[in-house]
Amino acid sequence: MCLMKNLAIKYFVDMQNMWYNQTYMNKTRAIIKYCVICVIVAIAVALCFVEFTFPFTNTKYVGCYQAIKNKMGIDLNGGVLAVYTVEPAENSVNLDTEVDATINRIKSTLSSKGYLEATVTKQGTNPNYKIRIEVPGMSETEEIMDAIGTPANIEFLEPSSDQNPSYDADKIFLKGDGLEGVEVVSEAAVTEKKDSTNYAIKLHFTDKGKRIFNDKVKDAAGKSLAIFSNKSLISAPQINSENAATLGLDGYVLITGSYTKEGAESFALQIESGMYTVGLEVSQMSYIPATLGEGAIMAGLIALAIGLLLIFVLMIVVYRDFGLIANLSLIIYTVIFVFCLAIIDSIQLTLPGIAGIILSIGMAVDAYILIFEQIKEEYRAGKRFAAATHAGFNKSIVTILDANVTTIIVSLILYCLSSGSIRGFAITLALGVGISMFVGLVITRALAKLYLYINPDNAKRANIKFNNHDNHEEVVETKPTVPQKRKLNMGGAK
Amino acid sequence: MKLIEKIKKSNFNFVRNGRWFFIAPAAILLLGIIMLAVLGFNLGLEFTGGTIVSVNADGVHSKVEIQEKMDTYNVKYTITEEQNTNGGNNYSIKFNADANQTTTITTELKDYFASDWQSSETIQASTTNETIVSVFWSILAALAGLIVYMLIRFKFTAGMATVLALAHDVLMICALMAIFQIEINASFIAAILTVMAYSINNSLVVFDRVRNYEKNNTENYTLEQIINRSINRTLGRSILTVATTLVTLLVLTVISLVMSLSSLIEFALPIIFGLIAGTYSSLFLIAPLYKQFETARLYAKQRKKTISD
Repeated sequence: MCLMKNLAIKYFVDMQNMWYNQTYMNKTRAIIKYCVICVIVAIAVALCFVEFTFPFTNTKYVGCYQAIKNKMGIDLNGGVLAVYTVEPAENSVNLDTEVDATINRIKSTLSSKGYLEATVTKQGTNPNYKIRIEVPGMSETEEIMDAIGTPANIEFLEPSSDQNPSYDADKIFLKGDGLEGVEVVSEAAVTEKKDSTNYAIKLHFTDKGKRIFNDKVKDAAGKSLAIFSNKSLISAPQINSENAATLGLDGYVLITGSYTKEGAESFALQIESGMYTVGLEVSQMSYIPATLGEGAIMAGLIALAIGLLLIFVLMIVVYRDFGLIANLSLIIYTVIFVFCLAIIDSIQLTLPGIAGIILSIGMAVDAYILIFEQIKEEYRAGKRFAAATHAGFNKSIVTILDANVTTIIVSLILYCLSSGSIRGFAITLALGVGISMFVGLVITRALAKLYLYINPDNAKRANIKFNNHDNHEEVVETKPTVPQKRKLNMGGAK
Repeated sequence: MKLIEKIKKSNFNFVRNGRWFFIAPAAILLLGIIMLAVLGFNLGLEFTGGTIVSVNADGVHSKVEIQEKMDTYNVKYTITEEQNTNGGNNYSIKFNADANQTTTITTELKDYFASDWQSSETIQASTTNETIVSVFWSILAALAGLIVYMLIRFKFTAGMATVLALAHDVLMICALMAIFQIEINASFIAAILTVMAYSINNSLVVFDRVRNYEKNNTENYTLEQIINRSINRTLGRSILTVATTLVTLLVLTVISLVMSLSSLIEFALPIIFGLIAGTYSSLFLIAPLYKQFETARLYAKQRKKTISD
């Protein structure tokens, strides 16, 4: 028995020595690791602001700051707001999908014209839908007309030998909903005429449209196919005799002719806008001036910088070493957040979005505060510093999850149901809270574990002291007279 | 440091003193309603539509002169100083009048300002009733989602108290906006949403504590003790959190005041009101509300049991 006891004691002493050696070894290593982390973070922060061209390539790196500034929404940047009332077609089957299809088409048209920041949203309820289009940076209301075209119905009439056919509703065999897209291609690239400088319009059919189209034209070589828009003839191209039989079966058809690039583009736009499956009537069209000028954005940035600085100071004063960890995490959080804002296309920077950013920074700090307060409590309940730190992180997970998940739920519901800048707020908030949860529960935790290698036992360096005046009706927390010798849980270190 | 010690020591009975804390919000609400009846909200052009006239601020006419000139027209107007793209300052005069009057005023102002005149712009209301109604419904749906989540994770009564606290916060912002006649523009909706999210977060932290203490209630503490303890223990955290969020907003307000950027002030002020209201409600209102709801629930449960027995 005695031998066993001695062996056990020897084992524990060995373990302890090993552990101390390891701590000593790890202390230097931990400090080095911290330095490396700081350098990486510093580089990441720098990457937010700098702009450069990659050597040997033409790829330009635009800093996050510039990228986000380019993505400012209509309320910050000014722009054109247009609201269209949807008029369902007479034979409309499923208005919801038709409206969605129209929205998608408007979106792709706008982005192909360079208005990448435009938002197109559905408002109202079936059958009284409205389509709201916001184009930041656009200065004239007419431009939006130029960009998305004057929506019109496109109709293909049965081929006839008449060079100048007149409109006849009975002869319509294919409408805009049979088309999938329109693009302008150079004739030289797609036809035999290699030296041609002309352009052609390529119509892409849906599967159904493909069949209907081929049925009508395969026996109609030499005749002309009339394309009407709003009951007026826009073009009557002749059907080529060589390929009439297979025309359209590849899923597309080319309209060739002596089109210049501009001519082809404007024709394509007409067809494209004619593809909107529902009728659109302008109900509101206005230029919205920018709410905030350049000065206001500068002011906002300065405020954010000073605010962050004050938070840093406050955290260091209240939590000392843990405050430093919190600050490092906060910087990491801000950098990740800013990169996400810059990268994700669907996020625009709007005034409500800025509110979302401020709020989510507040919530990130809140997570650190919750964790540190929990650690304090664990320490006062008798745990040693390292154990208290681990317990603090473990126990505050539930609180942080509950508080943040509700926020995410609320903002996701808002995102799904709202439009415009409120949507911007919801997505920014959800993203910010999500990232802050990740940083708080994973990165801060890892940083704190690393910190325990540097300072495994001195709670005072984290400003944690025993409360001498626990005079409430509390029994749970007793101050241990002799610090209990417990095996230190070093979080993975054995 | 003494203050921090005091907060740490705090052992305030939030439940027993609950009723006194309803006085201040009630007074503000009453005052808000009176102001609303007399003056109404100061709605921005986003809601009403109107005309913006920009003139050079460094020109012949001072702000007071412009104000006197505008007073003669008997229309609602605001004058703000804004930085223009050339680095100088602009006055933008915003007013809302019917079409005929707008034309007259604009032509007259053009003559009045002569070379200082820069531009005029008529804008339609971009935030229509329809938008507000749709925002309202989406907020209600979000609140329903919140209650469902709280039903799963907490108690229904906790969800009720959270939603009531939230309603208090929103009402307080509206009342304060009416009292101080701060212009309400599109960012106001964002402010309300921000405050909602913040208020939920605050309430949840308290209820998380309550849940914890209720679960590990080996000493048979009363409900009142549990609630008081939860709030007292989270007091430090609540104050620190609100301080960190308020800091950025206060700095923003000060900078905007110095640079006279009215739109930023209109953006920051409602959020500041809301943050204060949110902290107030999560500290002082949640306790008595939750106590009442829980007592009622337990009473109903008890009675049901007695009847079935």
